[in-house]
Amino acid sequence: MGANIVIDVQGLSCPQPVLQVSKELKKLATGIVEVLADSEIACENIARMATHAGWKVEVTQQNKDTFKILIQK
Amino acid sequence: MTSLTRIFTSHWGPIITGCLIGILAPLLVYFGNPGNMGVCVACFVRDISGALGFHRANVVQYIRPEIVGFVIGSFLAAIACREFRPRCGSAPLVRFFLGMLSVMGALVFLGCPWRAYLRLSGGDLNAIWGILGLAAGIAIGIIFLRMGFSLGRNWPGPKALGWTMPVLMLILLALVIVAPQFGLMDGKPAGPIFFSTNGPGSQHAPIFLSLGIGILIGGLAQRSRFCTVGAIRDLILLRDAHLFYGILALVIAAFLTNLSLGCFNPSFANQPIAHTNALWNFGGMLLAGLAFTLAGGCPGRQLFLAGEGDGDAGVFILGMLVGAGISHNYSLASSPTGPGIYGPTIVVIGIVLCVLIGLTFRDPRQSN
Repeated sequence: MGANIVIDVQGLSCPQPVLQVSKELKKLATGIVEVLADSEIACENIARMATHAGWKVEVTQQNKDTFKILIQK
Repeated sequence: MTSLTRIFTSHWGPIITGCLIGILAPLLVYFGNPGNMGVCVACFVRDISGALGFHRANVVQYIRPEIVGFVIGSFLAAIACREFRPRCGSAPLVRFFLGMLSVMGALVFLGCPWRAYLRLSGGDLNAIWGILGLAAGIAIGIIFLRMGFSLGRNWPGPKALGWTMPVLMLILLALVIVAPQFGLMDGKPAGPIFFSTNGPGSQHAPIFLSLGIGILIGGLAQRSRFCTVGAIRDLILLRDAHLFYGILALVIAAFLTNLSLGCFNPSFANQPIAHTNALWNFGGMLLAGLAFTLAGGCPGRQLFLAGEGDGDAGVFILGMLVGAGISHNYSLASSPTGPGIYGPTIVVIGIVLCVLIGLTFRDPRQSN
């Protein structure tokens, strides 16, 4: 299943990753959002925010410095 | 190991870290650090700046091992948990500048956000104005973040980049232990390295106690993402209180520790290394809070990020080091008698410059 939106937050410092993703989630009632991040901290913050907003979150590590966060509702 | 480290990245992490800092900081005062200054990143960077000869205010010169410990502790934790990630390139020059402005504001108040909370928990009621100013500065920073402010992206760097700040800290540690005299006066060796013989710079806990506590705090704070500016920022911006609970834990633990050590003295007047000018306590921390928010975190957090390989955070710290020197050389820093002659001026100029940075910086790759 393809994502509706792909957001690349790699290299951005706090709190921009979570802010960008939060902004996009607010525009959607349901859907799939794929986020590319490069740090565990960004993953933790995005997962916490999205879960709190009622979305399902799945984080997978692509390689040493790349994480894919799948957010869906 | 994994389950232990997961506790620190859970919502308990900042609470545990806050409790620990709240207990250890008053203990550092008990063992020799200046009053209500168990840990203060701004003051300690200022002392290091003086010890290196960047300013000549002879009462605030000492290489504080706590700062070394913060970076080394974070570095070790990041290595152990595979989070050591050398990176740089997110507007380093602007971050240097924000580091300068943040310490200039903090030295008008006489403390960083950590010390603001520690001062409050020791009974220094002037800290209330500082904390309100800090919150106001963070709130202004949030307006810019909502408008799309960004210093741009960083990029992965070579391992040697990530080692730079930890190695620099080890050099500082060697300098405080060996205490060499590089300068000459009338043909005789005279600092730097300078060490205060009176005043706050002369008051310090034993070197290895300070270093050990710094390493412990650095390691835990790296794991828990402890940040005294992020705490208020996330509470306002994201309605996320998990970092804020860490601040509450710090204040409560420090209050109880101060109480049990007989160091809780509630008043505005006669507080250690503090002045009673409410306006500039507020203004100084407003500038600091705004600069920290634009740079992405409190000065402690910048040290922890530097330890885990963030070169931009390292540049911010170097900016603080230079800014602290300028603060004392140009009469910007306050003293217990009140703000420095040009302290209020730099606060106003600093806020204007931060607003200009907030209005003009955007990530060209931002996704919408």
